[in-house]
Amino acid sequence: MYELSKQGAVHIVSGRVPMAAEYVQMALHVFDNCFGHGQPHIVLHMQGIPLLDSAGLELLLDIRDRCLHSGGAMQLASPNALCRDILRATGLLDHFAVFDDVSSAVGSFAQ
Amino acid sequence: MVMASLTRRLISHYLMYSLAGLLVCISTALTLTWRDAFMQSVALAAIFPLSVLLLGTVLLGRAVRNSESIERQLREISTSASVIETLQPLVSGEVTAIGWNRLVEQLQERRTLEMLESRLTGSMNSLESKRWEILFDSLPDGIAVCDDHGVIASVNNALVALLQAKTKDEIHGRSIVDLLAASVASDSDAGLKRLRTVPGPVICEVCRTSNLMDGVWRVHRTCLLTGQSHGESMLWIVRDVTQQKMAEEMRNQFVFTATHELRTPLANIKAYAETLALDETIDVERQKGFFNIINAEATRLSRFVDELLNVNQMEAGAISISRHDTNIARLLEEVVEYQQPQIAQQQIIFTQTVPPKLPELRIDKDKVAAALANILGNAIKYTPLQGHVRLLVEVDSAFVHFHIEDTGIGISQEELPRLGQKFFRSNDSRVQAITGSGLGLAFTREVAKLHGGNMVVQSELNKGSRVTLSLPLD
Repeated sequence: MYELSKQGAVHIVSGRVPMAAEYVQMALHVFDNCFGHGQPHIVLHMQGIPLLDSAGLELLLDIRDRCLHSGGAMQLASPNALCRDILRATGLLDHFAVFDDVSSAVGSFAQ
Repeated sequence: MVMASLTRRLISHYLMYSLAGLLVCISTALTLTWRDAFMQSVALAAIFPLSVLLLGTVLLGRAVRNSESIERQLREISTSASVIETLQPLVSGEVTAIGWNRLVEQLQERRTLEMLESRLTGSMNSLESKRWEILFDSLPDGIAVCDDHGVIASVNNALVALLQAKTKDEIHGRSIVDLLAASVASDSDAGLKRLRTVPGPVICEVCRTSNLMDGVWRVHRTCLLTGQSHGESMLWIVRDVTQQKMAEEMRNQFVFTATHELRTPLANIKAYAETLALDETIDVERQKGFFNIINAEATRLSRFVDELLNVNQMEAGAISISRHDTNIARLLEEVVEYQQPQIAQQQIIFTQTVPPKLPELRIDKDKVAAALANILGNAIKYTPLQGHVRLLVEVDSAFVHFHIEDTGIGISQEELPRLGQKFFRSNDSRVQAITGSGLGLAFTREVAKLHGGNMVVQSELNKGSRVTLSLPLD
């Protein structure tokens, strides 16, 4: 499922299921907890997310837009090869900062 | 003058047509005279001039109508505000009408172009203004334009988010210092004080609470460039630097801890090695003791470096775990056995409640053993003499829970969320007096995460703590 943790001022959302239509509402509920506490700084830890579908991509874009609207940001960490290919094929890879691991993603907020 | 030339043209057209008609009549009459058809020629002689007269009247009428229409429109232009709307094209093949229509067409084209240009300019201005608005709202830093008293005139979305408001309207017209103060726990925050008391440009940091994690803002107040309108004289920039501050603190902690953890054993090793090298009178037993100390300090040094590397590698995802089916009961026995010397030294009353049948877990035995040893070691270390430490194992449908409870010094609720952070050690003087690297729980937390489990700490200051390591069954 989706879990929320915090490292410093950064929210880390980790998933263990596909980011697909049947799980999008669950993920959205977790993401909602990242807002309303100041500028949202979110890292989506994708190591456990096997794939993305269109609903998942839409959710990513929505969350990114919500972050940008508040001066915050969302980074992606450790996407697997398939997720990376999906992001590349849909042209969304350029819309997100993607990191190889959570530490780098979290660290980017400290720079 | 216009009328005179018009009249001349009309008269000349009429005369021309009349003459043509007359000639036709005369020629017809002469021709018909020879045919002796007097009545026909009288009838023909009468019809032709009449036809010509009629034709001439029609043509004259058309020409006069065109002239009248042009004259009327010109009169209307002299009194009307809008030239273009007054002008109407003429329906006629006349040269004057054609000329007039061309004039009207060109004027209308010009009007259309002017309207298009005006609309385009308006749209571009609006787009430019919107572009700046978009830029303003896209900035990651909170920006506010205020008057001399700090009352907000404009604000961007980032500042609305920082102040945890819902809309810009909630903030417009309010004092920015009051809004910042409302988000800060203590009125005595140094940054806030500076903002209230120092006029003009200021750069300061405002901490929301004493816990860095709750938020640190860097506030930059500066004057707007010249040309500002009334009520907009100061620019405020608020940047969330929480993560930078925490990284800074961690680096400082690391330097402090590493220095201490490296220097102390190195100093001891050096001291004892020097003594052994220089003092030839030391007896064999004492020499053995010194060598043991050197060995212990080297082991301590090595363990610290290993812990540091392990935690860093785990956080970076560079360490993997090697899972094997592991007998948990035996694992626990080994862990407890390893701690027996410390238990004895502290005179700890140690109890354990372990179910008779524990499932086998597919885990990295060495890492889990190290994690459990960390928790148990901390419980013993931070429990005063003759205190209680208890190991309790519970199994539910999904997890095995290892609870380690103690009656030790505990930790304050303020510091509790930071347990498990790298290098974090409580500020409590009793904790500072005990050797520790601040890496043990960080390591344990990473081990739990790698196995798909978690670590939970409950504690009450001066009463004790309970640390639970939970590992999934599958």
